[in-house]
Amino acid sequence: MIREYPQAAPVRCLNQQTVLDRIDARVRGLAASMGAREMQYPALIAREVLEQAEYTQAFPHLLMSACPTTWCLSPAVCYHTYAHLAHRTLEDPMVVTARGRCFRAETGSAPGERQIEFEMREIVLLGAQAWIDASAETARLAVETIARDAGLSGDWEAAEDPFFLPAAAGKALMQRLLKVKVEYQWPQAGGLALASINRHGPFFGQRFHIVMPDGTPVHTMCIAVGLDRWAHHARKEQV
Amino acid sequence: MSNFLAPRVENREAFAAALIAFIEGPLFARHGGSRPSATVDVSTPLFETGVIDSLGIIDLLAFVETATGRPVPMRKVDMRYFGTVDRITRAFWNDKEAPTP
Repeated sequence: MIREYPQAAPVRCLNQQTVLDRIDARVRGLAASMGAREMQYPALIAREVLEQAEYTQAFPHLLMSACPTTWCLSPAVCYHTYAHLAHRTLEDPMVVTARGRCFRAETGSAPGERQIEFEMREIVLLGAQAWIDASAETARLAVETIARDAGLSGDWEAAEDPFFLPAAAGKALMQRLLKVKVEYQWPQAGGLALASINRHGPFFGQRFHIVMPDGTPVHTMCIAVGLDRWAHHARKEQV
Repeated sequence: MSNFLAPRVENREAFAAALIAFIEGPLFARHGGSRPSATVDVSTPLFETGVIDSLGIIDLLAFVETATGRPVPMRKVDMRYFGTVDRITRAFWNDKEAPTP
């Protein structure tokens, strides 16, 4: 008899892991087509990086500390990218991709839908606003194609991040209004978000001092794909 | 929670005028948004230019809901309906359904 025990993420056999890896390979292919350089980031991230990104203010309820003051478990991949490129001038637009394990202190969890620990492939773009906007459209269509091929046809919907403070309700409304965050939602699982495209404007460029050749902060965008959700719901024979 | 009170208005033009007065008056005074050099008119982009920021939008929604007497559904929190005073007026003011005294 197999005894159930609490799991922050599903335990997978090789076949199940292969499904996830194949989905990731498709998204990685998209990143390669956009000229991305592949990076490998640690699971831990310095608290000061998250403070600089204002994550600790906006989402303290999701943050998981690895030790009291210095290190946290990464809540997303892209914060590493901004920290890694901090204080640089980008002569050309840059695309970075990485797959990483992410951690969020969700109040409830369900395998393949909402996990404490999950794998995410992110494609991070840094450059001029017009290029970011054009790239967002390309990415949107490409993610749709990959999802359709996996039997996960859905719809893009305006969305907002789960800000902690009630006073941040305005931020959430602004995100929705300006469509800076759109999610690719799968209706068959109640609108489960499979991927998101998040346009940050010059926010991270300003916070991490990443600038264009003219000295203005770069605009950034990240395309985030929740690999566990895709692997859980994809039609395995199509992946 | 917003504590601004929307004035009682009776038609579309009065609603638009009251909205502009609200943005230029109490909203700026309270939030100090990056006010454009020119005054706000019915076609001034409210969000791209920073006239209304993430604090101001809560009060803006409260104004619209109070003045029209109806809640703003989340699906209508969209630039098609909120981009300018004119769009807000067209989307949310209905002379036939103006709130009764």
